[in-house]
Amino acid sequence: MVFNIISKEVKELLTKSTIISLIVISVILGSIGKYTSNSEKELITKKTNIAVYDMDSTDISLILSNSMKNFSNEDFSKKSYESVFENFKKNEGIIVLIEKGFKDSIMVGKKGEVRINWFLKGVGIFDFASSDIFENVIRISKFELMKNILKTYRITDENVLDPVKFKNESIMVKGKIFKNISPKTLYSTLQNQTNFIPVIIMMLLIMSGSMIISSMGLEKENKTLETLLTMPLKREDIVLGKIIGGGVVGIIMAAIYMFGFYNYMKGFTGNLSTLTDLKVFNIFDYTLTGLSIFLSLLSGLSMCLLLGLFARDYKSAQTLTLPVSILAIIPMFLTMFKDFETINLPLKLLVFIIPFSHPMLSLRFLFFDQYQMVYWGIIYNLLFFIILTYFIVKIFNTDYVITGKNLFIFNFNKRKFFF
Amino acid sequence: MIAISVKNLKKRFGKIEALKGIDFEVSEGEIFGLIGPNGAGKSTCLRIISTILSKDDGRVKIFDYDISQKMEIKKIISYLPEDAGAYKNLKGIDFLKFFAQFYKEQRDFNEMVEDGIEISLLKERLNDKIETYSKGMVRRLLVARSLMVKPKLAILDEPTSGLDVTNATQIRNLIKKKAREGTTFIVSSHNMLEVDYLCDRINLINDGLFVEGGKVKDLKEKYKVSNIEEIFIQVVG
Repeated sequence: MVFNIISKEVKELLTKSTIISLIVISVILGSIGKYTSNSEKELITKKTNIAVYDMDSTDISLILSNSMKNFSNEDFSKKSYESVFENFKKNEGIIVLIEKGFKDSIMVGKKGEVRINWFLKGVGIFDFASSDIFENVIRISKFELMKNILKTYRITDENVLDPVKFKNESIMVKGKIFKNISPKTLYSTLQNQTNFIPVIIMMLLIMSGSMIISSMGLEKENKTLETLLTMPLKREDIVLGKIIGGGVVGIIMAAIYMFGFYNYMKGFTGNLSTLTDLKVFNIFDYTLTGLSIFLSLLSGLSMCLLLGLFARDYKSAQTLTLPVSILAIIPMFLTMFKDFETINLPLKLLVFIIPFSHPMLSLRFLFFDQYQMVYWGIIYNLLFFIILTYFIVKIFNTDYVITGKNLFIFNFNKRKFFF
Repeated sequence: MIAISVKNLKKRFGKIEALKGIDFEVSEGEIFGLIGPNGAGKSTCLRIISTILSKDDGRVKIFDYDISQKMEIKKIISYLPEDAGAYKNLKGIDFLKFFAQFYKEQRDFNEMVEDGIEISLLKERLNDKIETYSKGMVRRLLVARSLMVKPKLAILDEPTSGLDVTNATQIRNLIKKKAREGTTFIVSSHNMLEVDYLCDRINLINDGLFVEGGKVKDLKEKYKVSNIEEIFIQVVG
């Protein structure tokens, strides 16, 4: 009987139009990611438009201007300043003016002056890419210049420009030692391996949660719930069927969405291969995390079903997803800025009692071999789901589910309580 | 055999006393009409008989079962709520199959679905999604859903509400036919002509109490009127 309800829920909720719209979103996200990735790759190899005008015309200024010209798409120095100015206004580029007296200033211990005029196409991330490239050009050109100036003082050892080598030997955190990496690399690695979990939880909750709440609202509005309640099946079967059915649809939809999201994120993180060298998770770790996600989803859906019981109709059901989404956002933000173990006790308790916190934290705990915390999270979510489902079944067994009135009836003489 | 036996049935919603102690009996194979103004307690009474709502006081028996034996009662009844809809994203045929699954222990699944197809008269439209159906088509599908399981007791709340004359007549004739085959019906309706045509016996309910009842013919003679509408006006005022 439960399978019949699950099958109905899946058929009803997973419509062709829903799947098509999700696939479209997924493909769009993936395409954006791919575009981003390609743009990033282009940037790594890309040169920019650099026009260098050397007013000083000395051996020292020539080193700087030649070094910079090597990074330009073409040599603009033969073109007039006005034509380059007009060209860069339409496209983009950098005009560099090496002032007269550049070498003289350096030789008397002062700084040689170079004027730079930027031409940008817009204010997007990639519009500022030419400035990033040019910052790099300046660094390399300065190094070239310094090497040559040192030569004039007969110093040939380049190490004098970068005499200290700092080596990250180890990081000790939560009793675990990580060797030969910097804290920044550790943080990036951890983020890369764990930041998809909160996104999955949010997607699962928003998608299945809103569906299950709306489904309850529709059942009430269309009075199909009344019909269902007269079928020869237990009311707990209806509750379980709805939760599991909503969960199955949610997982399918989240999988489609995550495929697109994975490609989208790959666009941003795909080039950071060096950060994923710390492979600490095995199949058992992922199984534990999967179990934690599944149980938190069931807990979330039972919360949604409970809220759905309070919906009068489809319209009023629409607004009820918000409280559950907020509950998911709280641990997401809290754990983004602070570690679970470094937050104060009240916040720690708050994070722990929210069922969605546990899968969000599970991979971080596993990263530091804190398996017990993950086990406790799984046990908590299982208990949360069982207890909440028990309450929902009790409400389902009252008149409230039909009338929307008198949920809390206390009549001690006749032993008639809310359940 | 007595199909429904209700004694001193009471139901309260907070301060509102919906049923103040009603008594009636319905025999097997009978079409029993429950009529009364809006808010009189008709739907509450039907919902209690169909096990959806609990009673506060009194005794309700459906065939051999006390109303507390919900699962046994659910196996032999079928309830059609007033203004009910259907799962719009399902096809008509899937809707029938979904509900037939619950009665697989009582009847052969395929026979049930075949009966549902026949009763609905929707033919190839059953392969379309319910969201494309007219109100009349949805109602016919719901009636088919109610009767395909061959219930011993069918509880119909406004079975023809919102239907045109053709659709309503088809459904009334179907109810008559099924009653002749042995199904007991308890019908609530605002349509006095429908009640007159369908019901063997009626009870008038007003403000949670039965104020009149009996065979339609006897009541017409008692009040010296030609139709139930006039009885209704005289009794309820």
